[in-house]
Amino acid sequence: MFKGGSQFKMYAGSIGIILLAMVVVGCSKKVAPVTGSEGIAKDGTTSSSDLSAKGGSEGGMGSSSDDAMSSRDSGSGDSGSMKSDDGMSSMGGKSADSGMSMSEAAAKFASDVYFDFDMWTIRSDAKDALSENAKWLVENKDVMVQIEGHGDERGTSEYNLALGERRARSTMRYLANLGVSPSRISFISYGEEKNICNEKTEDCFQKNRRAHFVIKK
Amino acid sequence: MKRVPLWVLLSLFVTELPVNAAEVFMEMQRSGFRKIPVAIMPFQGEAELKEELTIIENVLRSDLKRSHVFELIETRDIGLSPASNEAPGSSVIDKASKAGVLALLWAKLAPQENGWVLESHAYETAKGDQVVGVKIFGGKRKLRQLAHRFSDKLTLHFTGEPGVAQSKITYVSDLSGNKEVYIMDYDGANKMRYTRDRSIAISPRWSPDAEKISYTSFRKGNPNLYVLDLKTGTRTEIASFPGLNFSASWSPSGKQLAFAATKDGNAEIYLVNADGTGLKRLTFNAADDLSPSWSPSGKQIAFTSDRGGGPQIYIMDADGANVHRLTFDGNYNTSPAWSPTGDWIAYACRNEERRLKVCADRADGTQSIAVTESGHWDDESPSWAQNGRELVFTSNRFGKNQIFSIHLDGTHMRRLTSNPANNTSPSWSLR
Repeated sequence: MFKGGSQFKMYAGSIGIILLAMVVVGCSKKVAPVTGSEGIAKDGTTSSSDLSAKGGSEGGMGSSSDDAMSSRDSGSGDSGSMKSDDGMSSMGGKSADSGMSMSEAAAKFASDVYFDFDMWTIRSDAKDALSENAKWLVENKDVMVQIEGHGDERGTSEYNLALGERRARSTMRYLANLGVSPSRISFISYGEEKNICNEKTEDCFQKNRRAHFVIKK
Repeated sequence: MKRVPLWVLLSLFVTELPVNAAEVFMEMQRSGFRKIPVAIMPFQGEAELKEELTIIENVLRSDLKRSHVFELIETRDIGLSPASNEAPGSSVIDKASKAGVLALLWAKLAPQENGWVLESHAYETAKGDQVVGVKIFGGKRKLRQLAHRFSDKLTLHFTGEPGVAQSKITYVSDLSGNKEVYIMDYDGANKMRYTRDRSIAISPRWSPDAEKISYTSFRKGNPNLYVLDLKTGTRTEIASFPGLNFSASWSPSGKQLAFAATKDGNAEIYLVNADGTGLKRLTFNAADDLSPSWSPSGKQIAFTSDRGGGPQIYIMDADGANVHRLTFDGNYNTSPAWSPTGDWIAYACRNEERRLKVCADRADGTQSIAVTESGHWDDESPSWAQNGRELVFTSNRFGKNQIFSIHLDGTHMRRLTSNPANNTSPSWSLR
């Protein structure tokens, strides 16, 4: 297919045009809360555990044979462990009451906090929102919150995981400095794995470079 | 020094413009090497096996064309139009020899219980000797494997190096709606989902013996490191510290994994035994240290660190000592992959438009090249074939992320995945 560099350049050129067209169309997706629909068990993210082998007994990966790969799809036995995230409510309403209703909380709580390219420092445009968050969290002491760190698609996936965690941590530190007990805050990085906007536009990239708040009851 | 494609560098040193950059590259690696001209004679088999024979011939043809070793000559181009599919006789071999064919390839396929047997032969035309003669057995659905094994036998015989046609690529795909671990043949055939975590799988990596795959999964919520044993079908949790447990790399012995974890406040590189015991921290730095990749000697580890500001590639001894920086070109170089031959380290480098391409530096720092072309897309996650001459990588140049292979000199790019999903993070097995 690709015999060499020159032919390849032609491809590159036409792709550039396609990309331009995509820029014009823009990012049509709205920023929507991530709802953890991929089955995140609620007890997994903050529990510490020892570094130890579990004996490989989680089982059910399929029967062993030298033709192992052909029997995979029917072999998994651990689908039962994939809980829905009934313990987590994404900000954005529709959540169950807990004293103050979660939709009220959502109204008070800021939307996502955005970051500059390659950066994890809290921007000035995020500070007011984070102050509001902190105030609300101080007033609602029974609420636990998880901060998700995310990055845009540029950059390598592994480095973006580290970057996402830095964003989550700096957001956590900011809240802690405003009086929220760090014990009420957990964090997790999804890097570029759960992007909410998939166009190759600056607008989209910005929407993905975010810290996202999830209330855990 | 600005990175330039290797063929540009080479053309500075050769007076004649190279006919084929790959050939020149090959010669640079092993002086005096010429591609070996071979021709495929019609394979023999019962009439009802026509379809199977065509598959095998086509797969072998594709393997030989993709190899850096053979030049495939079509029999019709040299006036050799075999009337039968019998083993080539002395007159045919003689004619091929005169036409410049060094070896004639021929095989005979027969069914046997639960599968096939392919009697595979190669005849060196100069003396008329059979130099490869081997019976290859395979299961009913392993037709393509028969051809791959024939191809690898040929590579081994004519170069002394093991071929890569039987190797596999593990990668992540969201085809099912979730990011799961998949495995495919080196040519993109036989794609198979391997996990059913219904979560996010990251960075699957082959063990050196190709019997295990390490990967990170959010299946329990926290991104933990796991090892899948393909033989027994079991999964072992290797590291489950709060925070990230990710970017693992197998030591060449297969006994240890280097990986990054953020449990101590930022990403640091740790060593752990392949059964999850014996944790040892290797890096101590307030910056992020991640994405380790072992040298084939097992004595050194390349990794990404942003201790100097932006992320760059560094090299340390396997015990964490003697850290030195490898890359200085550009402000973003990540995800190193040390070639199995030891001489190159490939990585993702960022261009002025904040987009990634695949670059490679000599491990001793004496040369830096761009492997893929710069554009408004990302090429990342390079992983080497065992021969150290070909890489796989992820690119979103055509929209979604897909997996491609390319020769180190930037030629012979080939797309290996083309489904509507995102296919990312390939790891090429070493056997």
